[in-house]
Amino acid sequence: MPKSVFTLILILFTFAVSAQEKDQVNLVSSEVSFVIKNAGINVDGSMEGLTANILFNPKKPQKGSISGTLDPATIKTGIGMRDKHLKNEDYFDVENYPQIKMQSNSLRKLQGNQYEGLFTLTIKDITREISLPFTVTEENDQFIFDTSFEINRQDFGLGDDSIILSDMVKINIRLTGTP
Amino acid sequence: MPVHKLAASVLLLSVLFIAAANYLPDIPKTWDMKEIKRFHVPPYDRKVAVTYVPEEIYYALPEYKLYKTYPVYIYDKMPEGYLDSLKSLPPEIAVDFSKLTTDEDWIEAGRLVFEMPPNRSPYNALTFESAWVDSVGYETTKDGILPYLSYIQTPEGLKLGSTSCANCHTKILDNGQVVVGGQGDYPFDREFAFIIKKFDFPVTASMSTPLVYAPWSDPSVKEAWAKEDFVQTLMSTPPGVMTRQGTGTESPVAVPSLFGIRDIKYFDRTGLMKNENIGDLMRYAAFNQGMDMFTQYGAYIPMNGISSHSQITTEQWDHPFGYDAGRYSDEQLYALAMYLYSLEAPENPEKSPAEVLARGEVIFAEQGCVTCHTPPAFTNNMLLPATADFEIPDEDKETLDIFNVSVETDPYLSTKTRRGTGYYKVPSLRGLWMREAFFHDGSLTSIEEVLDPARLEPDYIPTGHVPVNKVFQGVPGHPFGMELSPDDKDALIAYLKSL
Ligand code: HEC
Ligand code: HEC
Repeated sequence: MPKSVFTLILILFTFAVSAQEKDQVNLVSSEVSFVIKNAGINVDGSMEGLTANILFNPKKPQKGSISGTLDPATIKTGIGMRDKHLKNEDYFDVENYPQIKMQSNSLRKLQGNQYEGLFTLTIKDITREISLPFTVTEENDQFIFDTSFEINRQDFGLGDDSIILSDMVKINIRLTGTP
Repeated sequence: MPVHKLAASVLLLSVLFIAAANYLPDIPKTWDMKEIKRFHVPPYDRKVAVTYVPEEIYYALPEYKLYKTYPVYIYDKMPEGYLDSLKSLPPEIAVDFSKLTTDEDWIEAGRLVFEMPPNRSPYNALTFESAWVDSVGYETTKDGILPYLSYIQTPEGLKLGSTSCANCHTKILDNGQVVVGGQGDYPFDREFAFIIKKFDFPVTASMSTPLVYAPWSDPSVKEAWAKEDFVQTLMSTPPGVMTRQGTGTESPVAVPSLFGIRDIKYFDRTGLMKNENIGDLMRYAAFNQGMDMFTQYGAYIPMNGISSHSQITTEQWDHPFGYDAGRYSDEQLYALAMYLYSLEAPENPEKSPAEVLARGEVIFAEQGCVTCHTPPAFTNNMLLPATADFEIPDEDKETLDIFNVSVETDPYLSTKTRRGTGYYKVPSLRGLWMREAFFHDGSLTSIEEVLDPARLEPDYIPTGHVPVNKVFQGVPGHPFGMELSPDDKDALIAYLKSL
């Protein structure tokens, strides 16, 4: 009995390792950008410092997982003083919360190269589950993950009510990795 | 019409009629300690306890009497026998507050309060000969009138009146038009400098201390006004800027425009006082016409010779600017506030093509200006920390509207002076076209200069206020809208001038 449990664990463990090894996608490059309307005009911004841990097999997406972190202190909107403001406690409070975190809870295939994932997104001390559609394209032996989704900035304590700054922010993420 | 409806309308009409006939405004109490504590923002140094003149002492001061006033001409344009004819007039009270009924009556009374000079010097103290006018740089109307000042016939004789609201809040445009409520351009500092020089007026610490010292200033401020430096600093104060009491040797303050004052949530560049109701405007006027000289900061009271509030009596009153003892009545201040509410800006002569203005408006939004200078008042009515490292006290987050990013302009006015709170407010951009002093200290004189990146360079000498006794480091901060193509910058400037 103990032996079989041990074996089982060993088997599961080995399987996990091999799945990890086999489906591991190594990040080559990443782009994170966002768009928000301010006074009716689109403001474009970006963030850097993305790290990601991706296990993904297009044939078995439900076995995969995607997690990542992002450094809000790298935010850029084209106006230095505005970036500074976005980093303070009214918005990202980067001193107390140096990472934005995202972790998939489940991934599934929709059709073709389209997938959907349920993720927990943590910004500052607020964690929410969001569902996002993404596509995965294979090009030159690389996977390209693309997603575009909207969040309400106030759901994550980013700023207050504003008559000029919209609540909804559109976020675009593109990850490129080698299987 | 059914009978009951008719009856209802008759009733309604008669109620309205009665209300109109008995129009008596609900005048707030100016010196209400609870209200004062709400409206006054704490000083930069939060450890210093602040106490205001007690209610009984304030209300025991005599009320100003509104005697009729008359225009002041420069010497060359004064009509023959003008002063003699004024001297022969009897003193006359200009307004009877018990007879005011309509809003218009109150507004007109307020105009007289606005023009009433609390400071009354001998009528011939200054006679404005042309050499004097030219060297100080007074503006006058085409008829040679100085609309800032007035002669006032009092029971003690004819006086030259000054320090009325009109003295500092009147501007004369290049075309000679008098704009009451515009960015005042009376050359206070330069006049003072010339008086010091001409009459060899002694300048001592006892003059600088009441005007520009705060317990959180550098102690050297008390002695900083060694004569030559001081005179030079005063002489460099450009139009639209002045060393108001409570500002600093290194930082005078730009005079605001009073148009649309109702929409402005904080008074003063440093947001020293709140504007939440008409009573706040009345309190603002009372404080700034001299009562602020008696506010106690720790053990320090700015007013010379006063070390305790109990010494503020009619006999002992000795205002540093020479006022007679006095205060405005609550009715006078109410009328004054009604008048300020009624002020309307003159028509804007700047006319740019609609497409240029439309382009400018887009750039104004793209460059993020709109976040702080939000229409319709072109301010979001918020306070910004004067420096990037100012630690916002927790209680301020409850009591003030804070936009938590500093534009990093020169912090002196807000960190070293009595008007200092640690914040600067976002100024309204309405009426920019007729302003000539920009930024809190008036170091810049045009919109073009505000948007010129060259001013950020340490060797840049600004066209506006330049303190003599300070190592200048360019005009730092507010680096917005600087990197634009020439066309876009022109469009932005055209838009700004249209506001
Ligand atoms: C000696 C000149 C002087 C006199 C007299 C004077 N003011 Fe002012 N006033 C100023 C200056 C300078 C400021 C700017 C102060 C600051 O920003 O710290 C100012 C600011 C104000 C403000 C604040 C406006 C804003 O947007 O921040 C109001 C309101 C005002 N004055 C009304 C009055 C009234 C009413 C009177 C008459 C009872 C008066 N002033 C008399 C010079 C004067
Ligand atoms: C983060 C808020 C903020 C933004 C964004 C901002 N401003 Fe300002 N603006 C201020 C503050 C605060 C001052 C006063 C600075 C001082 O007095 O030291 C000011 C002053 C000014 C002045 C001088 C007005 C006066 O009375 O002193 C002009 C003109 C101006 N801003 C135009 C602009 C334009 C044009 C833009 C966009 C290109 C812009 N501002 C963006 C906060 C802002």
